[in-house]
Amino acid sequence: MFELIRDVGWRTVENVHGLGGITRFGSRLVLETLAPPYRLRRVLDELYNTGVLSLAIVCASGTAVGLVLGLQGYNTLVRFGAEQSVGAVVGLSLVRELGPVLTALLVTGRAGSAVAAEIGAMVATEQLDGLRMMSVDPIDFVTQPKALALALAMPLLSALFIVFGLFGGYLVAVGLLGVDAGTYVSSLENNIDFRNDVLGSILKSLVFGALVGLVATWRGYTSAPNAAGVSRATTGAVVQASVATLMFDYVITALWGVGV
Amino acid sequence: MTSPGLRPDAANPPHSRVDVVSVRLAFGERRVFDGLSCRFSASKISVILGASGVGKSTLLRLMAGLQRPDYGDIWIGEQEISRLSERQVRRVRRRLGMMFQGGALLDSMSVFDNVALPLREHTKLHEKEISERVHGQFEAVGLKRVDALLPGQLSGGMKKRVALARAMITEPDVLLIDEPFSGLDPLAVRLIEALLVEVNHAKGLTMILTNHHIGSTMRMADEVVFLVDGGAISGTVRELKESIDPRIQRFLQAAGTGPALEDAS
Amino acid sequence: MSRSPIRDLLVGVFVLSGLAALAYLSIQLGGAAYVGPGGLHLYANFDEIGGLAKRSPVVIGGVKVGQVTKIELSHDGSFRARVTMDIDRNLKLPDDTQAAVLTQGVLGNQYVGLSPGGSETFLSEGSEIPYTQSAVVMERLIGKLIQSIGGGSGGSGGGSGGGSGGDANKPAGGGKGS
Repeated sequence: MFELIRDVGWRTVENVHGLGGITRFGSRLVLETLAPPYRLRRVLDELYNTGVLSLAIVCASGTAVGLVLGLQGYNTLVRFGAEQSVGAVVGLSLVRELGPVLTALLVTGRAGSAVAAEIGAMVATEQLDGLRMMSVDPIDFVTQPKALALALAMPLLSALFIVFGLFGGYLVAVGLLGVDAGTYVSSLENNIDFRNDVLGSILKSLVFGALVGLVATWRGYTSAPNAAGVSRATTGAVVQASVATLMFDYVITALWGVGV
Repeated sequence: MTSPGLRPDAANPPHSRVDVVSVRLAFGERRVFDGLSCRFSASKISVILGASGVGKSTLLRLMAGLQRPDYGDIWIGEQEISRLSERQVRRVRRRLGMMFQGGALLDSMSVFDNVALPLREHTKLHEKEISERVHGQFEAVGLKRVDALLPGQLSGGMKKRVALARAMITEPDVLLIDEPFSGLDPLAVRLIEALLVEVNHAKGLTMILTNHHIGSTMRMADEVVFLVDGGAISGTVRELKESIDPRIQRFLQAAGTGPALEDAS
Repeated sequence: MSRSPIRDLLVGVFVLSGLAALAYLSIQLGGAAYVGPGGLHLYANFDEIGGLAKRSPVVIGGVKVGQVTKIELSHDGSFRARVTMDIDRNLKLPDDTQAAVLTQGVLGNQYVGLSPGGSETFLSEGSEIPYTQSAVVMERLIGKLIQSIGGGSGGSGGGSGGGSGGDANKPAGGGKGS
């Protein structure tokens, strides 16, 4: 029993310690992003790795989610005779929540884990030490472009997810279930508002992108320099980034709703 | 973490000499160094010998500033480095070059970009000049037509050569080399050995290697630093062979019966 | 690196399509064009606004031209509902425009419908729309209907307090906001 208490206490201390570590790392990242050299070339390369290579999964998933939303939305609304509003249901769900959150989770799994693994592998093969020996700061050279690319790619991917989702909903509602195309579109347009819905969505995806960028690069950077360490870093990055995304989702939703 | 330390003396040209003074280092419970002192003379080839796990690579990392001692001084020339900030150490590293055991080349970049990296980061040279220097280095280490290859496509020996080219391109005063012969076949060992000796003679830089390979050590070392019991015993190759210290004799004997032998290897 | 040009192109395509998606969401869907601090602010006092809420649309002839930004009690002590609206600033609304609280369909959301009059003078920033029509509260309608048909004890007209207009400010409509 006493062991248990001691264990919990120790873990709490460890977590606080880790929190401090990631905060310091995060502030280093921000500093390096804002300070020259800006390494545009590397950011662009990383945008390819995180953004372009995630396009397929984001667009496919977006369409799939849109299809389901259209179907489920219609089935539920039709009970209240409100099936003409299916456009609004699909649109609002995607824009406010599913777009930013699901995109973040997908990108975490695909690009976040890849980033953590890459950096972890570089630690294990002494590449980061090699950079240090050449008087190059690994945080500036390696991690900052990756984190920045993740943060920048997220809103773009989220928007694409939403658009593909809207299209998926359209396919089901209009193509399959007989909702009038004009009704679908006007229901969409009349019920989605820029300041309340779209802007909040963009903000969320930016925050999520920064979170994933921070967690993935930090886990890779602090991984133990061996194969097991890299593996732990990768899975840990996905788990932590996903949980953080979901928690911050609530916080932003609450604050954004209250503020406006 | 302070100690009076040996001041670098004037008899030995101070600039590219490396001194380790009274260093103590422990990793948790494990004591690695307990009052280790040794000197690596300027312009000489010094080899760090010892049993596996005794701390050869750790000593190298201490000199590279990648590891801080718990106590003691590390002097690169006339600069003590163990108490500098990371940014200051980075400046000292301009004078150092390091070859890592696996090469530590950036595997997302081509060989050319890898070797050009130090120049692109720290100088404002034009691409044409960078290209000239990089190709000059390739020639010096005996590589041809490797520019566009990725590190993953290189053989072990080629990786070492590229790593050497990259370490040398900034014209360091001190070159630290971690296990240059690991994973190489006997012919490659000879080739790399010859290359290192040639570079040392040509440029006169201080070379410090860790080595498992007794044979090449005996052939190329000007000085040997034997790590044992948390400390070091230094001397020339001859002094080492003639030593009456039982630990050294045991080590040489064990190495003598192992596959890592002299000449025939 | 020889593979750069293709990759760069793909990155460019990615970024452009992402920005295009963002633009579509913001402008086409979200109507970002008119919303913003530069809108024309008008207000109107209603006896009853029903389920009208913040961000409910303001519509002219079926076309969304703005939204409700604030709902509060009127400032003149008359215990009416004062609704503040943010309207496309490019519109010139005559000062005899009428504002009515209407319902989408029969059971849908409530919105403010504007019917512009024919006056030659226009409403300026911050002015009041003088002619208003309050919301129709479904329960009261039903109550009236039951009364006129049944003729019996009209007091308890079923469900939630549907008296015949006796109770002035029953917040009706089940508080549906958007």
